[in-house]
Amino acid sequence: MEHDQIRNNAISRFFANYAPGRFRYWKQSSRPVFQGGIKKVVTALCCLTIGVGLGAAVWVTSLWWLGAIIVALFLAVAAVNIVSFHSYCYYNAWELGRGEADVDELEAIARERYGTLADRRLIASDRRVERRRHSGKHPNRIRESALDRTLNIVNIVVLVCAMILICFPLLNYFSLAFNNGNRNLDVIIFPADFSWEPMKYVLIESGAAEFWRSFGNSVVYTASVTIFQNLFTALAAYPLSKKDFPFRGFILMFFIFTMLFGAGIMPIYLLVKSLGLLNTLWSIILTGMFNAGNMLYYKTFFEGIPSDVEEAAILDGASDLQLFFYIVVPMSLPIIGTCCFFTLVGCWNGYGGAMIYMDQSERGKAVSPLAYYIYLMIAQNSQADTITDPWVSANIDNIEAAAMLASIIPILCVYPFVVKYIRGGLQLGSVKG
Amino acid sequence: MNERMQTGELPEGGAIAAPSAEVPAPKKPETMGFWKREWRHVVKHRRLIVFLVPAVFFTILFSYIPMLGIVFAFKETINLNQGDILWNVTHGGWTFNNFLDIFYENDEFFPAVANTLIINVVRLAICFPLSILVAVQLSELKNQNAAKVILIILSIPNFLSWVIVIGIWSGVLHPDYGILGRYTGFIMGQNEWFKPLVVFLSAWKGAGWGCILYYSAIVSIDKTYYESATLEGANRLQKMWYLTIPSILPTIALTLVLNIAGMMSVGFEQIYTMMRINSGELLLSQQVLDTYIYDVSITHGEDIPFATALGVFNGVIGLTLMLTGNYITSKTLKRGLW
Repeated sequence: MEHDQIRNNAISRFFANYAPGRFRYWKQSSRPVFQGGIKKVVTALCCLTIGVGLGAAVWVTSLWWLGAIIVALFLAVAAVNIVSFHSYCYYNAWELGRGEADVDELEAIARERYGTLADRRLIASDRRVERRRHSGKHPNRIRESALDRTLNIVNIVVLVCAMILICFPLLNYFSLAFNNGNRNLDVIIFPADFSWEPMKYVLIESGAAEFWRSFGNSVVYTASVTIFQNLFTALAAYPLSKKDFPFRGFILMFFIFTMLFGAGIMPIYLLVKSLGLLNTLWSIILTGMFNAGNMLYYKTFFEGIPSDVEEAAILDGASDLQLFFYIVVPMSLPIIGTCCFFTLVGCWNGYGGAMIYMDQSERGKAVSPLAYYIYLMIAQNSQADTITDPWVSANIDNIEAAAMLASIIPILCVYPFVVKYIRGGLQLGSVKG
Repeated sequence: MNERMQTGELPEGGAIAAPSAEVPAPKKPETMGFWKREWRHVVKHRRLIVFLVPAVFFTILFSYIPMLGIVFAFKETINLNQGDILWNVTHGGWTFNNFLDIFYENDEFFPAVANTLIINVVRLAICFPLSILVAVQLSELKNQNAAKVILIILSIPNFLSWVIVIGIWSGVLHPDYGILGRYTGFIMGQNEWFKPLVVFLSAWKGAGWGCILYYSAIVSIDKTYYESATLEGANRLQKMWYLTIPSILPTIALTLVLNIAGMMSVGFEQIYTMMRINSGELLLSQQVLDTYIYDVSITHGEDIPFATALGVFNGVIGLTLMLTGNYITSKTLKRGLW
């Protein structure tokens, strides 16, 4: 009997053409008599139960489309299993029914092709050993004790609890941003009554002018401080990383002393006031132009750059500026990335400076960064009786959530890309302090 | 090399012999005068001096010029309506009473200090071991890729603004519709729950971030230690206690000292926002030192000499704590904080 003949029904052909992997797996794992199909039946039934149950739960409580997607996914898996079981039965029955084969013959073919059951078990165990070898673990490694296995489980349980503790409030609160205020009680981790209205209110409609104004302020403030603070800090750290720089210790103490001792906020407030910078963005930009702590990180890193590289560049005729920007900066990207990200996050999230230098007048609000705008919004809403629009007063919590969500999106977009830099940079920082 | 050393061809330690006496040694910088040596360095690095200009400018402008403002603390009155600051400094009497006013006839200062210390000590006792614990647990996971993903998720709250963290939790703990608040009742904004919530929110926001620090310290431990410990029959708990913890002890000690050095500041944004959002007013039992200084300086702002004295006093305490911390680390860890 030809191999093609065995496959010669529509479903088998479908699997052979479009899902060859699955087809092969199915062939090998099934014996040519009515055995072994039970796994597929069980899988299909489980998929049906779980899929329908979970999907219906999601569908009923909140987002119908998410429920539909879940149902569809599980149904698809169930259908594949049912179909493959069906074709498996059909193929045997077809062969047998047409009298073209009897059970013994089929078994003989199978034995020839796949070996006996014992052979296949041997092959499977070999494969298991092989897999273990490729998984990076030694096949003869020391088995874990019962204590270690218990610890593993405790570990996983604790970490899962920590993840839930972190993620649950975030999901719960930010799903308010997509919820209609009438059904805030029903929100668990999905919006109960999905609507774009709060988001629209913050980003497009009446709240948009204030939101985008403070968003723009935040962008200007964050960008300028991030760029110039790190530029000035790195520039200052570079000479100080030279062991024989004149008066190096004195200059270092000059910078470090500002970290240790400050005269409090009153004198600096008066200074900013007398410079005429109150209620302007310049107040928080200019006071953040230098960071002594970051300078120490930069200095430590620059000291680790081998001096041969710099000497070679000097021999090639590089000036000091060229040396710094073409040699030193590209070599210290990890630390620059880390420090820049921290400055960026600090500026985007911080509003202590704005609380000092900006008041709650119209002029102060016009230059307030985003975090301060949200702070003002929340502080006012907690004792607000002034809202006239009934929809707004019913949805005030959802509007707050929407504004907060919109304000953290930029940070959340940047974070995953710089996280590897941060871990490297932190190690660098913590090696030498 | 060892064979040659044993046969006596090379001096012990494998060092190469010093140059012979007829080559004149270059004049060592140490034998030059101090000023001459420094001048040589100035000439050598003359172009690099320019690099320091912006940093020095901004440091002087926003750190050292305000330090001149310490003299305000010794004035009897400063009234900006009468004249500018210089006029006020040159006119009017001098006194030390502003510093005494901090302690005498002041019913806000000592509660603020007490609150600061209580919050900081409890926070140190809870948040500090917590992040070490989670970091050790993460490093014990078999799937280290999963550990990294978990680490990223755990450190997300650190990158949220304090106002957002407090907003989230006041939503979750809202007595009417909050998912937890409907069971626990009115918590956020109640006076007796204020300090526990401060500590809890600090832990929620900062524990994951502390984890990253310890986790990267643990990952950099040599893996062969663990292998040999396994061969010696150590179980996991023993490996944790006798290997992991001692290896990251320098990091732990450094963080501990830094925490103690920052004992007098709680995080102004957090406390002030919690106070404002909770009740809209500033309660004496919730006041900490930072918010007290902010209130005196900015919210009220009339008594400039007293506010300055308060700031200077706080600065001196901070300086003392930092120097003590540096002394301790340089004695025990053989390296300073900077």
